[in-house]
Amino acid sequence: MGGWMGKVLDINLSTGSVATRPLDMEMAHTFVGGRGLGARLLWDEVGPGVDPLAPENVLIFTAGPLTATGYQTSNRFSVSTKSPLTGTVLDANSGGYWGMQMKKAGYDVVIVRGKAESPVYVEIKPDGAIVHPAQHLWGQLVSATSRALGQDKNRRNVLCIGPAGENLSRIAAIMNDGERALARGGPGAVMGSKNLKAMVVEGNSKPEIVDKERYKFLLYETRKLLRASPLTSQALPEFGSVVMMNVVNNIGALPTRNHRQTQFEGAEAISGEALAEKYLVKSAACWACPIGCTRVTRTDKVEGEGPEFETTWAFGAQCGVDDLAAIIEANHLCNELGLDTISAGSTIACAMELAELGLLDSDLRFGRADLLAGTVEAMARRRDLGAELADGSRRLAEKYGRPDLSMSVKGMEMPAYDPRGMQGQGLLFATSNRGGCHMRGNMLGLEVLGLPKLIDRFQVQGKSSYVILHQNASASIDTLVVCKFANMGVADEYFARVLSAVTGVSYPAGELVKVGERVWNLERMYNLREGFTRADDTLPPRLLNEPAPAGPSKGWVCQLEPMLQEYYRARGWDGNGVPRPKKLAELGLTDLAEAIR
Amino acid sequence: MACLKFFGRFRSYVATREVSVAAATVRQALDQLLPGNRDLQASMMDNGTLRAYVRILVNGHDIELAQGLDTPLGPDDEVAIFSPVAGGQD
Amino acid sequence: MIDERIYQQFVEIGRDLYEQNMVSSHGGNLSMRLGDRVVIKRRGAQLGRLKPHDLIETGLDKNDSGVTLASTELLAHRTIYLQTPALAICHCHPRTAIAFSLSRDEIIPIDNEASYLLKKVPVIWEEFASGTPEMANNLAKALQTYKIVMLRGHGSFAIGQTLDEAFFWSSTLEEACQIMVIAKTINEPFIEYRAMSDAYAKW
Repeated sequence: MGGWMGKVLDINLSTGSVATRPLDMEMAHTFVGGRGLGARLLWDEVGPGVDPLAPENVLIFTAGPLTATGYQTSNRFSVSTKSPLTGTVLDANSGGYWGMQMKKAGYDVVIVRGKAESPVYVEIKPDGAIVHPAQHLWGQLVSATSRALGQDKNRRNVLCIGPAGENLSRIAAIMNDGERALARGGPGAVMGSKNLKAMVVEGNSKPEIVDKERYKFLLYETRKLLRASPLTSQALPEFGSVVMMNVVNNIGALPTRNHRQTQFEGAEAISGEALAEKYLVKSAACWACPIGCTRVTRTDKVEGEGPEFETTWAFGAQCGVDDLAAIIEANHLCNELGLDTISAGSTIACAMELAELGLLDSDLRFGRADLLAGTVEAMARRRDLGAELADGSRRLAEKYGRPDLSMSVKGMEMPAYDPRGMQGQGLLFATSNRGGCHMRGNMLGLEVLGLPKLIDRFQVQGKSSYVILHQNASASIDTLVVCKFANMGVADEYFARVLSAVTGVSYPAGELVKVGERVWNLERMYNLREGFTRADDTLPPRLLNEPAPAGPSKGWVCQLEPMLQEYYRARGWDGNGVPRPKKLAELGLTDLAEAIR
Repeated sequence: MACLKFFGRFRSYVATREVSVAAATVRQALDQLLPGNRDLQASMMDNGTLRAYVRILVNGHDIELAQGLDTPLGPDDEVAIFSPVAGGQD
Repeated sequence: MIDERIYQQFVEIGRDLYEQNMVSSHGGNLSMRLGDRVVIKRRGAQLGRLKPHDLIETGLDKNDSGVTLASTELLAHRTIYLQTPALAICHCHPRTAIAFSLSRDEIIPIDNEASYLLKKVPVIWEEFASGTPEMANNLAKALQTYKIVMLRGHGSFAIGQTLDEAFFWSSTLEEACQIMVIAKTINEPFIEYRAMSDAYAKW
């Protein structure tokens, strides 16, 4: 068997039982792995009416058939669960080493269910898993936890939560290998609700590769492609993802001060260029990655990995802050406490606006860089005002009577692209299955960078086609699981061939994209089963009704409605966004249709 | 006078990251700057055409969707030159 | 109403195709998928001189344009959109590639650019090279694996996210074939310069 290890590890924290069972290979072939396999398993495991923070929710960690093969960026893995932040299906994926090690230990899937009576950690080895008491680790920061449990490069890897997850913050992340994150949607809270502090894994085998000759050729071609693409060979290694700050700002699509503006006068001060000049120590990479987009940065107070573009934006422009050192420190804190940086920064921005309007009693104001660190700490520990911010901007804004001031979709805070300056991106955010998220499509390439070709970012007609293609294609990559930065240099047809060569199962390029379409529709069905409707495919009123006040996008709102209607039709869904029987049949999902009748 | 702003790797090829130029089109502006700067020329142009991956925005709007290098420039126009990537690679 | 920006893409690529001798005066076709609609050149129009009324918008599943298009062309395009992730199709008649398609089942470029970008272009054959569902299905199936395929004696079908991309594959193929012809004329032993080149045939 190529690629897959063929084994599922099932850990029940309520009973303490640990079991392994064979992976359902037909399911694996159909959903491949990662996000796809996770969603399919979640469909069976967690139905409507289950509170995401109750023991009945599960955490499903999945790798893909390419994980741990050594193919470029084959280090990624996913977690699937029901999100405590949005209530939707959730997957989050991360790099580093943990996923690779999970496969080395012999597993494609690790399911964690139930709830331990008191804090525990799980140790996973090829012969099974042991549940250990973890009271002594509860309350510890992420780096201390990782050290205590023996984090050791590519030999022994630790995945854990910090205080934020322990305190059930709905924007808590699960951290792995120190500073990598399964960040969005609050999976850290699910882990905390199970009293699960950490999972440590050690392995000693490797996935098989069926067609070694073909695989070798594809490795070589991929190396050429990654070197040839200036994005993966120069920009990302040199500047990291923060290189986008000046780009997005210049086109007038950088949300500023809780999306009140679309350009930030302080963008230069928090740009990738500024980071490289003032705080960069070196770049770093995940296992088997030649790109090296990770930044290692240092200020007077901290040294660590990051920040990424989104983080720098969330604590920067979104909060009206142009103090890069303060942003780096806030990022570092989020890593240690186990918090999603995008949601944290954007929630603070929401609080800033509420405070400026006199609705929230707080010193928070746009530009108060000095309050970032303290607020982040308070959020993770649910102290004082932090307790109100710990569950994200939607709950905060609702509490203070201004739900319209949460810059979120389905409860997930949107990232660093203002839909008034990028129409396609707006459609993407409104329709992403896990909420306001750019990692499930990203129109940046087409609407800004001209990759493969520049499409007018203000064009509305036909835009849905591109969004759908990118949603499907990126979903397929999330099943392998490889890194989307690799995709910037390597086209999908290569991934399809690598998958075929590794597994020995034929996946034409179009078929692989279809796997992504299948996963997308399955996730949609999951949300429909939970009670989500067309009304939830929307954007905050500010983006639909308040024209961008200045800059290149001045006067524009996001014209979501016509794009959305075209989107539903193009996806083969009815006017309410429900997949039609014909589409479900085409994707082999007909039996799911019963569930939403 | 239009203002040319350089970003990313381009900054390593120029003395100041912002330069004012009197020019009626983008092409004219580049014709004034590039001949005197071999590194910048090589990183931006390939035999007289703009390299793929180089993006030029006039007041935030990509010239590819306007008149390309012949996009006109007015006084006070801002020309941003990026490639989140730079340098030559064919 | 077709957005002006979309119309311009057709005009530019159409003109490039004609000027590069990739189509005759009225041959070839370009189409794009916009959501659940297809925009395609009207039968009888010239790709090198497209006017706004030369583009027809019709349904993905059935022709509701009210215009009698060449049902031959449209079926193939719609089938490709329904069965592949294509958002644009470039169908043209690259002369040298067509000549090569007459004597082989696959075209394997020898030049650097096409080796890198295309690796291998399969040649498929249909008894009635236009119009039948069988041909449309076989074409779509091939395009699930390859981004450009040749229809023996007829021409190339290339897919992409944009017309520009589909045109790029077409133009690269024709260039590759012209280089192959020139190499045959030069007729000297080929010095293999590409690593692992025997893998191209298995692409």
